[in-house]
Amino acid sequence: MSDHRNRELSERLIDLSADYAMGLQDHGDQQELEHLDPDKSARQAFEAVAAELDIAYAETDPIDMPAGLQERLFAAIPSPGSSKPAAAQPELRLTSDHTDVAGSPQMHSPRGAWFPWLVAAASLAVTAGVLLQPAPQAPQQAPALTAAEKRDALLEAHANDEDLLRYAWTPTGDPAVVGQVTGELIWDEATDEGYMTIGGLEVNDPTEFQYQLWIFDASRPLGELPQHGDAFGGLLTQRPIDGGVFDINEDGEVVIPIDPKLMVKQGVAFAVTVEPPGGVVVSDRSRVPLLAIPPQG
Amino acid sequence: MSGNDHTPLLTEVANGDQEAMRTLIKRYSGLVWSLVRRKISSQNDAEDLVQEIFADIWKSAHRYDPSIGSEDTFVAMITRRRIIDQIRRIGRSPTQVTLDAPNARIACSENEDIERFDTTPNAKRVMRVLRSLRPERRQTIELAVVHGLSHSQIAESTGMPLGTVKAHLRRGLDEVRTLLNPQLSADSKGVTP
Repeated sequence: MSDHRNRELSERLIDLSADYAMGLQDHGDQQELEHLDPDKSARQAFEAVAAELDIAYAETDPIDMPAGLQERLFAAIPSPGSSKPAAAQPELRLTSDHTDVAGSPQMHSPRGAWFPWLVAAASLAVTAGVLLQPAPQAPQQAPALTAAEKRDALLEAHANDEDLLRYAWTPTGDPAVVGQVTGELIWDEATDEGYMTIGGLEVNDPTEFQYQLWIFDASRPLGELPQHGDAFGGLLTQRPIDGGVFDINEDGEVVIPIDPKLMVKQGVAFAVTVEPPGGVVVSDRSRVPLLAIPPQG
Repeated sequence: MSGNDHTPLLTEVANGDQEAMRTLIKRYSGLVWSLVRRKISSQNDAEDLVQEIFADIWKSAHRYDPSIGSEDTFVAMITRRRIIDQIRRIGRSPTQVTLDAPNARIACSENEDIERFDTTPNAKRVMRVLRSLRPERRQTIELAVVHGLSHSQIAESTGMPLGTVKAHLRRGLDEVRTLLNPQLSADSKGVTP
Protein backbone atom coordinates (compact mmCIF):
# COMPACT_ATOMS: atom_id res chain seq x y z
CA MET A 1 0.00 0.00 0.00
CA SER A 2 1.42 3.41 -0.89
CA ASP A 3 2.59 5.93 1.69
CA HIS A 4 -0.08 8.28 0.45
CA ARG A 5 -2.77 5.69 1.03
CA ASN A 6 -1.37 4.87 4.46
CA ARG A 7 -1.42 8.54 5.41
CA GLU A 8 -5.01 8.83 4.21
CA LEU A 9 -5.95 5.85 6.32
CA SER A 10 -4.23 7.31 9.34
CA GLU A 11 -5.96 10.62 8.91
CA ARG A 12 -9.28 8.89 8.46
CA LEU A 13 -8.67 6.84 11.59
CA ILE A 14 -7.82 9.98 13.51
CA ASP A 15 -11.05 11.60 12.32
CA LEU A 16 -13.19 8.63 13.21
CA SER A 17 -11.48 8.01 16.54
CA ALA A 18 -11.76 11.66 17.55
CA ASP A 19 -15.45 11.71 16.66
CA TYR A 20 -15.93 8.49 18.60
CA ALA A 21 -14.21 9.85 21.70
CA MET A 22 -16.44 12.92 21.58
CA GLY A 23 -19.55 10.79 21.09
CA LEU A 24 -20.07 12.46 17.72
CA GLN A 25 -19.59 9.63 15.27
CA ASP A 26 -22.21 8.92 12.63
CA HIS A 27 -23.84 5.53 12.52
CA GLY A 28 -22.44 4.95 9.08
CA ASP A 29 -18.89 5.41 10.34
CA GLN A 30 -19.08 2.66 12.92
CA GLN A 31 -18.37 -0.21 10.56
CA GLU A 32 -15.47 1.61 8.97
CA LEU A 33 -14.01 2.35 12.39
CA GLU A 34 -14.27 -1.31 13.39
CA HIS A 35 -12.36 -2.21 10.26
CA LEU A 36 -9.64 0.41 10.71
CA ASP A 37 -9.25 -0.08 14.45
CA PRO A 38 -10.01 -3.72 15.16
CA ASP A 39 -8.32 -3.75 18.57
CA LYS A 40 -9.90 -0.41 19.58
CA SER A 41 -6.51 0.98 20.50
CA ALA A 42 -6.95 4.22 18.55
CA ARG A 43 -10.39 4.81 20.00
CA GLN A 44 -9.13 4.21 23.51
CA ALA A 45 -6.16 6.50 22.98
CA PHE A 46 -8.47 9.33 21.97
CA GLU A 47 -10.88 8.53 24.78
CA ALA A 48 -7.99 8.79 27.22
CA VAL A 49 -7.07 12.20 25.80
CA ALA A 50 -10.66 13.38 26.11
CA ALA A 51 -10.72 12.08 29.69
CA GLU A 52 -7.51 13.97 30.52
CA LEU A 53 -9.04 17.14 29.11
CA ASP A 54 -12.21 16.59 31.08
CA ILE A 55 -10.24 16.07 34.29
CA ALA A 56 -8.18 19.20 33.71
CA TYR A 57 -11.23 21.36 33.08
CA ALA A 58 -13.08 19.87 36.03
CA GLU A 59 -10.17 20.46 38.37
CA THR A 60 -9.66 23.99 37.15
CA ASP A 61 -13.30 24.93 37.54
CA PRO A 62 -14.92 22.42 39.90
CA ILE A 63 -18.63 22.39 40.65
CA ASP A 64 -19.70 21.75 44.22
CA MET A 65 -21.66 18.58 44.82
CA PRO A 66 -25.19 18.92 46.18
CA ALA A 67 -25.56 18.17 49.86
CA GLY A 68 -26.29 14.55 50.60
CA LEU A 69 -25.23 13.08 47.26
CA GLN A 70 -22.07 11.53 48.65
CA GLU A 71 -24.04 9.94 51.48
CA ARG A 72 -26.49 8.48 48.97
CA LEU A 73 -23.56 7.05 47.04
CA PHE A 74 -22.21 5.47 50.23
CA ALA A 75 -25.62 4.01 50.98
CA ALA A 76 -25.77 2.42 47.54
CA ILE A 77 -22.62 0.34 48.08
CA PRO A 78 -23.80 -3.28 48.06
CA SER A 79 -23.56 -5.07 51.38
CA PRO A 80 -21.01 -7.89 51.80
CA GLY A 81 -21.88 -10.95 49.78
CA SER A 82 -24.76 -9.34 47.95
CA SER A 83 -22.93 -8.25 44.85
CA LYS A 84 -19.25 -8.74 44.47
CA PRO A 85 -17.85 -6.77 41.60
CA ALA A 86 -16.12 -9.41 39.55
CA ALA A 87 -15.68 -10.63 36.04
CA ALA A 88 -18.63 -12.93 36.57
CA GLN A 89 -20.91 -9.90 36.71
CA PRO A 90 -23.02 -9.40 33.63
CA GLU A 91 -21.26 -7.09 31.25
CA LEU A 92 -22.51 -3.56 31.54
CA ARG A 93 -23.08 -2.25 28.10
CA LEU A 94 -23.95 1.13 26.78
CA THR A 95 -27.10 1.64 24.79
CA SER A 96 -27.56 0.53 21.25
CA ASP A 97 -25.91 3.70 19.96
CA HIS A 98 -22.70 2.56 21.54
CA THR A 99 -22.95 -1.15 21.14
CA ASP A 100 -19.40 -1.69 20.11
CA VAL A 101 -18.06 -0.79 23.50
CA ALA A 102 -18.46 -2.22 26.93
CA GLY A 103 -19.57 0.12 29.63
CA SER A 104 -16.07 0.55 30.89
CA PRO A 105 -12.64 0.84 29.39
CA GLN A 106 -11.45 -2.63 28.48
CA MET A 107 -8.33 -2.61 30.54
CA HIS A 108 -8.08 -6.38 30.42
CA SER A 109 -7.57 -6.24 26.69
CA PRO A 110 -4.42 -7.67 25.20
CA ARG A 111 -1.43 -5.54 26.08
CA GLY A 112 -0.87 -4.73 22.42
CA ALA A 113 -4.27 -3.16 22.16
CA TRP A 114 -3.42 -0.87 25.00
CA PHE A 115 0.01 0.05 23.81
CA PRO A 116 -0.86 3.64 22.86
CA TRP A 117 -2.46 4.24 26.20
CA LEU A 118 0.36 2.49 27.97
CA VAL A 119 2.78 4.92 26.41
CA ALA A 120 0.45 7.79 27.18
CA ALA A 121 0.01 6.73 30.77
CA ALA A 122 3.71 6.18 31.26
CA SER A 123 4.40 9.62 29.88
CA LEU A 124 1.80 11.21 32.09
CA ALA A 125 3.02 9.31 35.13
CA VAL A 126 6.61 10.34 34.59
CA THR A 127 5.60 13.93 34.08
CA ALA A 128 3.33 13.86 37.09
CA GLY A 129 6.15 12.43 39.13
CA VAL A 130 8.45 15.22 38.06
CA LEU A 131 5.83 17.85 38.65
CA LEU A 132 4.96 16.47 42.05
CA GLN A 133 8.41 17.18 43.37
CA PRO A 134 8.36 20.01 45.88
CA ALA A 135 8.09 23.22 43.93
CA PRO A 136 10.99 25.63 44.27
CA GLN A 137 10.25 28.60 46.42
CA ALA A 138 8.65 31.28 44.29
CA PRO A 139 10.39 34.63 44.29
CA GLN A 140 8.86 37.19 46.56
CA GLN A 141 6.21 39.09 44.66
CA ALA A 142 4.24 42.19 45.41
CA PRO A 143 0.76 41.35 46.66
CA ALA A 144 -1.78 41.16 43.84
CA LEU A 145 -4.13 44.08 43.49
CA THR A 146 -7.75 43.54 44.40
CA ALA A 147 -10.44 43.98 41.78
CA ALA A 148 -11.42 47.25 43.40
CA GLU A 149 -7.86 48.52 43.24
CA LYS A 150 -7.56 47.51 39.59
CA ARG A 151 -10.84 49.24 38.81
CA ASP A 152 -9.64 52.41 40.54
CA ALA A 153 -6.39 52.26 38.58
CA LEU A 154 -8.29 51.94 35.30
CA LEU A 155 -10.51 54.88 36.20
CA GLU A 156 -7.49 56.94 37.15
CA ALA A 157 -5.72 56.06 33.90
CA HIS A 158 -8.68 57.43 31.97
CA ALA A 159 -9.41 60.37 34.21
CA ASN A 160 -8.53 62.84 31.47
CA ASP A 161 -10.05 61.17 28.44
CA GLU A 162 -13.39 59.78 27.35
CA ASP A 163 -12.17 56.43 26.08
CA LEU A 164 -13.76 54.44 28.86
CA LEU A 165 -17.32 53.12 28.51
CA ARG A 166 -19.09 53.88 31.76
CA TYR A 167 -22.69 52.76 32.17
CA ALA A 168 -24.97 52.78 35.18
CA TRP A 169 -27.05 49.65 35.65
CA THR A 170 -30.58 49.47 34.30
CA PRO A 171 -32.51 47.01 36.50
CA THR A 172 -35.39 44.96 35.12
CA GLY A 173 -38.35 43.37 36.89
CA ASP A 174 -36.44 40.12 37.44
CA PRO A 175 -36.86 38.73 40.98
CA ALA A 176 -33.08 38.69 41.43
CA VAL A 177 -33.30 42.47 41.80
CA VAL A 178 -34.01 42.67 45.51
CA GLY A 179 -33.08 46.21 46.43
CA GLN A 180 -31.88 49.54 45.20
CA VAL A 181 -29.47 48.72 42.41
CA THR A 182 -26.19 50.53 42.78
CA GLY A 183 -22.93 50.53 40.92
CA GLU A 184 -21.85 50.73 37.33
CA LEU A 185 -19.93 48.96 34.63
CA ILE A 186 -16.73 50.30 33.14
CA TRP A 187 -15.08 48.92 30.02
CA ASP A 188 -11.86 49.80 28.24
CA GLU A 189 -12.22 48.69 24.64
CA ALA A 190 -8.54 49.21 23.90
CA THR A 191 -7.44 46.61 26.42
CA ASP A 192 -10.60 44.50 26.87
CA GLU A 193 -10.46 45.29 30.57
CA GLY A 194 -13.48 46.16 32.62
CA TYR A 195 -15.14 45.91 36.00
CA MET A 196 -18.63 45.68 37.38
CA THR A 197 -19.66 47.24 40.64
CA ILE A 198 -22.99 45.80 41.72
CA GLY A 199 -25.30 46.23 44.67
CA GLY A 200 -28.95 45.28 44.95
CA LEU A 201 -28.91 41.78 43.44
CA GLU A 202 -30.00 38.68 45.34
CA VAL A 203 -27.20 36.83 47.11
CA ASN A 204 -26.82 33.54 45.24
CA ASP A 205 -25.93 30.03 46.33
CA PRO A 206 -23.40 28.96 43.66
CA THR A 207 -24.71 25.40 43.80
CA GLU A 208 -28.16 26.67 42.85
CA PHE A 209 -27.51 29.39 40.32
CA GLN A 210 -24.91 31.92 39.25
CA TYR A 211 -24.87 35.23 37.47
CA GLN A 212 -23.26 35.54 34.07
CA LEU A 213 -22.26 38.64 32.16
CA TRP A 214 -22.77 38.92 28.40
CA ILE A 215 -21.07 41.47 26.21
CA PHE A 216 -22.88 42.68 23.11
CA ASP A 217 -20.38 43.42 20.39
CA ALA A 218 -21.70 45.50 17.51
CA SER A 219 -19.22 43.85 15.17
CA ARG A 220 -20.71 40.38 15.70
CA PRO A 221 -23.57 39.02 13.60
CA LEU A 222 -27.18 39.33 14.65
CA GLY A 223 -28.97 36.36 16.11
CA GLU A 224 -32.64 35.76 16.57
CA LEU A 225 -34.29 36.17 19.92
CA PRO A 226 -37.70 37.43 18.92
CA GLN A 227 -38.96 37.64 22.49
CA HIS A 228 -36.77 40.66 22.95
CA GLY A 229 -38.15 42.31 19.81
CA ASP A 230 -37.03 45.86 19.28
CA ALA A 231 -36.35 46.50 22.94
CA PHE A 232 -33.28 48.60 23.41
CA GLY A 233 -32.98 49.13 19.69
CA GLY A 234 -32.92 45.40 19.02
CA LEU A 235 -29.66 45.15 20.88
CA LEU A 236 -30.57 42.03 22.82
CA THR A 237 -31.09 40.05 19.64
CA GLN A 238 -27.37 40.13 18.97
CA ARG A 239 -24.97 37.31 19.61
CA PRO A 240 -23.17 38.13 22.83
CA ILE A 241 -19.78 37.16 24.18
CA ASP A 242 -19.51 35.40 27.51
CA GLY A 243 -18.14 37.89 30.02
CA GLY A 244 -17.73 35.43 32.88
CA VAL A 245 -19.68 33.83 35.69
CA PHE A 246 -19.82 35.47 39.09
CA ASP A 247 -21.53 35.39 42.46
CA ILE A 248 -23.10 37.99 44.68
CA ASN A 249 -22.25 37.64 48.34
CA GLU A 250 -23.44 39.38 51.44
CA ASP A 251 -20.76 42.04 51.38
CA GLY A 252 -23.09 44.57 49.82
CA GLU A 253 -21.71 46.27 46.74
CA VAL A 254 -19.14 44.01 45.11
CA VAL A 255 -16.51 44.67 42.43
CA ILE A 256 -16.17 41.96 39.78
CA PRO A 257 -13.64 41.89 36.95
CA ILE A 258 -15.07 41.25 33.51
CA ASP A 259 -13.65 38.10 31.96
CA PRO A 260 -14.47 38.00 28.22
CA LYS A 261 -13.93 34.60 26.62
CA LEU A 262 -13.44 36.08 23.16
CA MET A 263 -11.87 39.27 21.97
CA VAL A 264 -14.35 42.13 22.12
CA LYS A 265 -14.04 44.46 19.17
CA GLN A 266 -16.88 46.87 19.76
CA GLY A 267 -18.62 46.32 23.07
CA VAL A 268 -21.74 48.42 23.11
CA ALA A 269 -23.93 46.90 25.79
CA PHE A 270 -23.84 44.38 28.60
CA ALA A 271 -26.39 42.12 30.25
CA VAL A 272 -26.35 40.08 33.45
CA THR A 273 -28.32 36.83 33.29
CA VAL A 274 -29.22 34.16 35.84
CA GLU A 275 -27.85 30.77 34.84
CA PRO A 276 -27.21 27.25 36.19
CA PRO A 277 -24.01 26.70 38.20
CA GLY A 278 -20.97 27.18 36.00
CA GLY A 279 -22.84 29.30 33.49
CA VAL A 280 -23.92 28.34 30.01
CA VAL A 281 -22.49 28.53 26.53
CA VAL A 282 -25.70 29.83 25.08
CA SER A 283 -28.13 31.74 27.24
CA ASP A 284 -31.81 31.84 26.45
CA ARG A 285 -31.82 35.15 28.32
CA SER A 286 -35.03 34.25 30.08
CA ARG A 287 -33.77 36.01 33.20
CA VAL A 288 -31.94 39.27 32.72
CA PRO A 289 -31.89 41.21 35.99
CA LEU A 290 -29.46 43.92 34.92
CA LEU A 291 -28.47 45.74 31.76
CA ALA A 292 -25.69 48.17 31.15
CA ILE A 293 -26.66 50.00 28.00
CA PRO A 294 -26.11 53.33 26.33
CA PRO A 295 -28.41 56.05 27.66
CA GLN A 296 -31.73 55.82 25.86
CA GLY A 297 -32.73 58.72 23.65
CA MET B 1 -9.95 16.18 43.06
CA SER B 2 -8.28 13.53 40.98
CA GLY B 3 -5.92 11.07 42.43
CA ASN B 4 -2.74 11.12 40.42
CA ASP B 5 -0.69 10.85 43.57
CA HIS B 6 -2.95 8.38 45.36
CA THR B 7 -2.62 4.67 45.80
CA PRO B 8 -5.05 3.05 43.34
CA LEU B 9 -8.15 1.64 44.96
CA LEU B 10 -9.81 -0.15 42.10
CA THR B 11 -8.03 -3.44 42.70
CA GLU B 12 -9.46 -3.53 46.21
CA VAL B 13 -12.86 -2.45 44.91
CA ALA B 14 -12.75 -5.30 42.40
CA ASN B 15 -12.32 -7.67 45.34
CA GLY B 16 -15.48 -6.33 46.92
CA ASP B 17 -13.78 -4.12 49.51
CA GLN B 18 -16.53 -1.76 50.64
CA GLU B 19 -14.20 0.52 52.53
CA ALA B 20 -12.11 0.95 49.40
CA MET B 21 -15.29 1.83 47.52
CA ARG B 22 -16.14 4.44 50.15
CA THR B 23 -12.71 5.96 49.79
CA LEU B 24 -13.00 5.87 46.03
CA ILE B 25 -16.33 7.69 46.20
CA LYS B 26 -14.79 10.32 48.48
CA ARG B 27 -11.88 10.68 46.12
CA TYR B 28 -13.72 10.90 42.83
CA SER B 29 -17.30 11.98 43.48
CA GLY B 30 -16.33 15.63 43.09
CA LEU B 31 -14.66 14.94 39.76
CA VAL B 32 -17.55 12.82 38.49
CA TRP B 33 -20.09 15.41 39.61
CA SER B 34 -18.21 18.23 37.89
CA LEU B 35 -18.02 16.26 34.65
CA VAL B 36 -21.68 15.29 34.74
CA ARG B 37 -23.11 18.62 35.82
CA ARG B 38 -21.45 20.51 33.00
CA LYS B 39 -23.30 18.52 30.40
CA ILE B 40 -26.51 17.39 32.05
CA SER B 41 -28.68 20.40 32.70
CA SER B 42 -31.19 18.72 35.03
CA GLN B 43 -29.85 18.39 38.55
CA ASN B 44 -32.03 15.35 39.22
CA ASP B 45 -30.84 13.61 36.06
CA ALA B 46 -27.27 14.49 36.97
CA GLU B 47 -27.58 13.00 40.46
CA ASP B 48 -29.11 9.81 39.07
CA LEU B 49 -26.36 9.54 36.51
CA VAL B 50 -23.61 9.95 39.11
CA GLN B 51 -25.10 7.04 41.04
CA GLU B 52 -25.19 4.94 37.87
CA ILE B 53 -21.58 5.79 37.15
CA PHE B 54 -20.38 4.66 40.55
CA ALA B 55 -22.40 1.48 40.20
CA ASP B 56 -20.66 0.97 36.88
CA ILE B 57 -17.25 1.57 38.45
CA TRP B 58 -18.08 -0.94 41.19
CA LYS B 59 -18.97 -3.59 38.64
CA SER B 60 -16.17 -2.78 36.22
CA ALA B 61 -13.31 -2.30 38.65
CA HIS B 62 -11.82 -5.66 37.75
CA ARG B 63 -11.00 -4.27 34.33
CA TYR B 64 -8.59 -1.78 35.81
CA ASP B 65 -4.89 -2.58 35.49
CA PRO B 66 -2.75 -0.12 37.48
CA SER B 67 0.28 -0.94 35.38
CA ILE B 68 -1.45 0.44 32.34
CA GLY B 69 -3.13 3.68 33.24
CA SER B 70 -4.06 6.08 35.97
CA GLU B 71 -7.11 5.49 38.07
CA ASP B 72 -8.60 8.93 37.55
CA THR B 73 -8.41 8.53 33.77
CA PHE B 74 -10.22 5.19 34.07
CA VAL B 75 -12.93 6.84 36.19
CA ALA B 76 -13.21 9.77 33.76
CA MET B 77 -13.47 7.44 30.77
CA ILE B 78 -16.35 5.55 32.35
CA THR B 79 -17.97 8.85 33.24
CA ARG B 80 -17.59 10.20 29.72
CA ARG B 81 -19.16 7.11 28.20
CA ARG B 82 -22.11 7.29 30.54
CA ILE B 83 -22.62 10.98 29.84
CA ILE B 84 -22.49 10.41 26.09
CA ASP B 85 -25.03 7.65 26.51
CA GLN B 86 -27.31 9.86 28.58
CA ILE B 87 -27.09 12.75 26.13
CA ARG B 88 -28.13 10.39 23.36
CA ARG B 89 -31.08 9.25 25.41
CA ILE B 90 -32.36 12.65 26.45
CA GLY B 91 -31.05 14.86 23.69
CA ARG B 92 -28.08 17.14 23.67
CA SER B 93 -28.18 20.06 26.09
CA PRO B 94 -31.86 20.72 25.39
CA THR B 95 -32.24 23.60 27.78
CA GLN B 96 -29.12 25.45 26.86
CA VAL B 97 -28.76 25.38 23.13
CA THR B 98 -32.08 26.30 21.69
CA LEU B 99 -32.00 29.88 20.67
CA ASP B 100 -29.41 32.28 19.54
CA ALA B 101 -26.05 31.02 18.64
CA PRO B 102 -23.28 32.92 20.10
CA ASN B 103 -20.18 32.63 21.67
CA ALA B 104 -17.55 30.40 22.89
CA ARG B 105 -16.17 30.06 26.29
CA ILE B 106 -12.44 29.66 26.28
CA ALA B 107 -11.20 28.58 29.64
CA CYS B 108 -7.56 29.00 30.05
CA SER B 109 -7.52 32.13 27.96
CA GLU B 110 -4.25 33.95 27.54
CA ASN B 111 -5.20 36.36 30.31
CA GLU B 112 -5.36 33.65 32.94
CA ASP B 113 -2.33 32.59 34.90
CA ILE B 114 -2.41 28.80 34.87
CA GLU B 115 0.07 28.55 37.71
CA ARG B 116 -2.37 30.30 40.00
CA PHE B 117 -5.08 27.72 39.45
CA ASP B 118 -5.72 25.64 42.54
CA THR B 119 -5.36 22.36 40.74
CA THR B 120 -3.02 19.44 40.16
CA PRO B 121 0.23 19.68 38.22
CA ASN B 122 -1.17 17.36 35.58
CA ALA B 123 -4.23 19.54 35.03
CA LYS B 124 -1.94 22.55 34.66
CA ARG B 125 0.11 20.63 32.14
CA VAL B 126 -2.99 19.79 30.11
CA MET B 127 -4.06 23.43 30.27
CA ARG B 128 -0.65 24.53 29.06
CA VAL B 129 -0.99 22.16 26.13
CA LEU B 130 -4.42 23.57 25.37
CA ARG B 131 -3.12 27.09 25.50
CA SER B 132 -0.51 26.20 22.91
CA LEU B 133 -3.19 25.32 20.38
CA ARG B 134 -4.58 27.72 17.82
CA PRO B 135 -7.50 29.60 19.38
CA GLU B 136 -10.08 28.06 17.04
CA ARG B 137 -8.94 24.56 17.92
CA ARG B 138 -8.94 25.31 21.61
CA GLN B 139 -12.38 26.82 21.28
CA THR B 140 -13.91 23.83 19.50
CA ILE B 141 -12.32 21.40 21.95
CA GLU B 142 -13.69 23.30 24.90
CA LEU B 143 -17.18 23.49 23.46
CA ALA B 144 -17.16 19.77 22.69
CA VAL B 145 -15.37 18.47 25.77
CA VAL B 146 -16.58 20.80 28.48
CA HIS B 147 -20.04 21.63 27.24
CA GLY B 148 -20.79 18.53 25.20
CA LEU B 149 -21.89 20.42 22.11
CA SER B 150 -22.29 18.65 18.78
CA HIS B 151 -20.47 19.64 15.60
CA SER B 152 -23.51 21.51 14.34
CA GLN B 153 -24.04 23.29 17.63
CA ILE B 154 -20.43 24.40 17.67
CA ALA B 155 -20.79 25.61 14.09
CA GLU B 156 -23.86 27.60 15.01
CA SER B 157 -22.27 28.90 18.17
CA THR B 158 -19.05 30.09 16.56
CA GLY B 159 -20.23 30.91 13.06
CA MET B 160 -17.65 28.52 11.58
CA PRO B 161 -18.63 26.21 8.71
CA LEU B 162 -19.46 22.67 9.83
CA GLY B 163 -16.52 21.15 8.00
CA THR B 164 -14.16 23.61 9.64
CA VAL B 165 -15.50 22.73 13.06
CA LYS B 166 -14.95 19.03 12.43
CA ALA B 167 -11.43 19.65 11.19
CA HIS B 168 -10.51 21.86 14.14
CA LEU B 169 -11.88 19.39 16.66
CA ARG B 170 -10.29 16.32 15.12
CA ARG B 171 -6.90 17.90 14.48
CA GLY B 172 -7.01 19.67 17.80
CA LEU B 173 -7.60 16.46 19.72
CA ASP B 174 -4.84 14.73 17.80
CA GLU B 175 -2.53 17.64 18.53
CA VAL B 176 -3.33 17.39 22.24
CA ARG B 177 -2.72 13.66 22.10
CA THR B 178 0.71 14.06 20.59
CA LEU B 179 1.66 16.99 22.81
CA LEU B 180 0.67 15.11 25.95
CA ASN B 181 2.45 12.00 24.77
CA PRO B 182 5.37 12.96 22.57
CA GLN B 183 6.44 9.35 22.16
CA LEU B 184 3.31 8.70 20.18
CA SER B 185 4.10 11.32 17.59
CA ALA B 186 7.48 9.76 16.96
CA ASP B 187 6.19 6.39 15.86
CA SER B 188 2.52 7.13 15.23
CA LYS B 189 1.48 4.25 17.45
CA GLY B 190 -2.22 4.27 18.10
CA VAL B 191 -3.32 5.86 14.88
CA THR B 192 -1.76 3.58 12.31
CA PRO B 193 -4.00 0.72 11.30
